[in-house]
Amino acid sequence: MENEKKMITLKSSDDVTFEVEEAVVLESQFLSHLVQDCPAPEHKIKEVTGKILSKVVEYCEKHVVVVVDGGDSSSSSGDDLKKWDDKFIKEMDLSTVYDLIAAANYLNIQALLDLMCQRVADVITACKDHKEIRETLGIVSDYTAEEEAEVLKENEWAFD
Amino acid sequence: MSSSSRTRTKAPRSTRIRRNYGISSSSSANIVADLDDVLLQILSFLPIKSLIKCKRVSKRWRCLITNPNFSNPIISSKHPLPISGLYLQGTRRDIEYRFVSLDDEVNEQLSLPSSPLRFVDHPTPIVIMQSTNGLLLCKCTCPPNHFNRNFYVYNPTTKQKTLLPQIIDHFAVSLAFDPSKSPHYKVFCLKRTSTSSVSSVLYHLEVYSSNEGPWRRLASLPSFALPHTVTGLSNLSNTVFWNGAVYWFWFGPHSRDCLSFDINTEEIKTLPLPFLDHEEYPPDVGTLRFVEESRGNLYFIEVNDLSSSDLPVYEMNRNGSSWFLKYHVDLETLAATFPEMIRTEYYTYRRIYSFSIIGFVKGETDVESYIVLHIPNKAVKYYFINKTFKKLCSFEPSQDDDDDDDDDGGDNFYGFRRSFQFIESLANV
Repeated sequence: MENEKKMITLKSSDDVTFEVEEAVVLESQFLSHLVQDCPAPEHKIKEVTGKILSKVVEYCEKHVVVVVDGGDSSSSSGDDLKKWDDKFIKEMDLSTVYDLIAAANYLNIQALLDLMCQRVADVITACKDHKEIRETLGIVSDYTAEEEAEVLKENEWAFD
Repeated sequence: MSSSSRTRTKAPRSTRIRRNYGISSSSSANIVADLDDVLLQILSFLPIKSLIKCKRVSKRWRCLITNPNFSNPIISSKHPLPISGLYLQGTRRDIEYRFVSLDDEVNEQLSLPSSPLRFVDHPTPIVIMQSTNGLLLCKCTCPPNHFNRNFYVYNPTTKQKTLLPQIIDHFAVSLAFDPSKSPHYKVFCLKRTSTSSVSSVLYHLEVYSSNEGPWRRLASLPSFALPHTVTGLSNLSNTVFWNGAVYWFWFGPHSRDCLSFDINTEEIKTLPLPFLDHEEYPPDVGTLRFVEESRGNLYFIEVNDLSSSDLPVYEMNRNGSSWFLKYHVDLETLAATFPEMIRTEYYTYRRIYSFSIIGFVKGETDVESYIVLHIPNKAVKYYFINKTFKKLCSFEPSQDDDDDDDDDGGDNFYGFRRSFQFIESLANV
């Protein structure tokens, strides 16, 4: 039963280390290539801070589908996983969400990227207008006043 | 930066932060803002309504959202889009419309008086002929072509319009558009074949296609005759696009006919309408007739007796061959709350219900399906399964030219007779 699991150490940009099972690392396409290409026990991920890497590891550990040889392990049912995801994103501020999007994009973890994009989409949907979207997401408009007026006209009701 | 973010060799993060820091709390905000695929992914999770708002955020966002490579898959993946409102055609003047939102949260302020509908920068009012999956088929009487020959396909959400090539001597026109199948639309025109003799008037079909261009006669389809009850009428009563076929309805004082044309098989058929199952000839035969497509189903309602509290709703079966009784509206339940619905008919002293049918919305589940009725001074939603209802909006009697004779009890109620679905869509026309 007690199979020796291969452990891998991930080191963040600010030198925080995380020891994880190989299966967890395989959730990331980028890391699975890295692990295959260079079989060192420790991998430095210069792009991701300790704070964010801890979130990534937390997510991947939860989502890893462990192929178990007898006995159960950490694989969760879909409903539980969804609840866990909801809780996971609910507690997060937008800048952490951004950092996670950047990390998930870099590490190529599609499910995490989807989850985080959905979260930003929810934030956008909750905004009452384009100005609030700009403010919330920190976007500087590149419209000139005339162009803005033109777009506004385009979106008006066609009633007299 | 976007292209380099997936590679491993790059400057340490700390220096990148300094370089990109500025508009938001972290450099990651910039990564998110700069990467088109990440932004597109975020945008793809948004409902159409938010996407339309997002077009105003920045030029780049607008450019991404309006690009057909983004919008076409989005439109087809979100099909069927919800019906967010109704254009109600004026009760006395055909060119006046009133818009009613079906969103429960934004209603009262939208019950504006009827007014003509116009395109931006367009001098004359337009008339809506059909609404299909977010696009409207419209006509107007302005130059260059007079006499109702200017036909437009219009997206009221994006305010984009296309003037169709001129149509001469049309008998009936219909729009076919199914964004789940194709981003392109077709318009079909039923025309009298000029060579046919007076004794046997024949008709044929011409098609305009948004990707293939001008009107051409459908060669595969020989000329055909129409029922005499149809040719005697000057106007098409209704047209819908459903299940890959266009349907033309003609309702006369004593006739009702439906012709369908399947756009894939190019077959033309006449379609039977539900039987009137009255023992005697009903007193108000054909007083109200309503046809609508919603969420992939076709519905038909006919009112033949205004004193009956039961309003049956028919649904077409999937293969388009026959109708079956799907729902009932219990008008008595409504009248208990809205007694103004009940009146006594002037000549016969019958107790009759005052209403017209202005909308049908099929929900994701049966419980969410409802009908929209116009009753004196109000529009109400009625949910079939739970028999519950909700006031949608009021039409102020003071400025209401629709039912100003209601309160004296003399005239029959004259409600909105036609309505057109407003569906927010990004479809290009």
